[in-house]
Amino acid sequence: MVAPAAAADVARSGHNEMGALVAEARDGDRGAFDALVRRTWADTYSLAFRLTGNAEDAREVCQEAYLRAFRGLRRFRGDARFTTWLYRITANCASTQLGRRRRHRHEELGEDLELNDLSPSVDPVGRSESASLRDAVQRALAALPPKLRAVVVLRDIYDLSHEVIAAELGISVSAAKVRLHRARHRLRDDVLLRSEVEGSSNDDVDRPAM
Amino acid sequence: MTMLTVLPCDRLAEVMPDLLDDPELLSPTDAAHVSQCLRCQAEMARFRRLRRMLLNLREQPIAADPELLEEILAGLDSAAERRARHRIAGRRAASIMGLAAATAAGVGGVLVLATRRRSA
Repeated sequence: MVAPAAAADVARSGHNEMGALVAEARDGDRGAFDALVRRTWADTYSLAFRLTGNAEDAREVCQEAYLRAFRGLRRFRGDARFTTWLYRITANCASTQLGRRRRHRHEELGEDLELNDLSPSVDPVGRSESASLRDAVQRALAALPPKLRAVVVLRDIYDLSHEVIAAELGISVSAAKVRLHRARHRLRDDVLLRSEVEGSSNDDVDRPAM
Repeated sequence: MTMLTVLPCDRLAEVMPDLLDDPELLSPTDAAHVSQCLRCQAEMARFRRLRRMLLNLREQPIAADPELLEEILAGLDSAAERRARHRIAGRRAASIMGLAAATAAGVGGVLVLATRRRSA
């Protein structure tokens, strides 16, 4: 097991390497930008998938996000992490993509989230959460309306601030907070209350007749 | 006539999700209530657990088709080529414009000289 201090060192050196690659890419080194893509694409795809709720849209969002990042790299000031900057671009692309989908299809997305991604968590507390509960969270997230899902994914999974979320989704900060409030309530109902109710009904079944 | 009063638990249940971001929303009176109320404590624990579960999803990447990486890199190649072509076209345009400007200046100069000689 990796000690926390050693893990922090690894994270720091990884961050420094990313910083060096970003600097080289900004100076026009295409190879450095490709290296950044190779390091971040899986994470970017995960975010895109969680925001859009389907693989097809996630692919498009992912490609568009890297094109925008490539074009706008000179504008990246470096006061935030490259990954955070990329999350913002991805969120913006996903918002555009979902808007386009709504205009074309007039339907809510995200009813068929595939659950093919469950690698074990590095957090010991998270690891102790049952796999079925993790699946339930993924399903509940996928079932949220896209507008609510976007906010809760960006805030509670990717830890972006209310201000950043509002800016990238093109809404006010108070609207972002209201959506987050609703999303958390729905997730709590769909995941935790349901599991508590199911747990207690199983207890009733298991209990021997008096 | 009966007066309907909102119990602290019902009122607090409404702000529980927001407390995850801003614990200061809980007044000292409400905090004192929560410390004595099992219902509110359970509700608060649910939202904290939910947040923890969501945060853990970050460590569980969604499996992507490996071909996507190649598609992204190919898209970047095309964008880089387009950018290079635009730069070359821009430089050519600038050169042509410069040449045209120099030619126009030269012709203008010759015309001015010719006009002066005639008038002299």
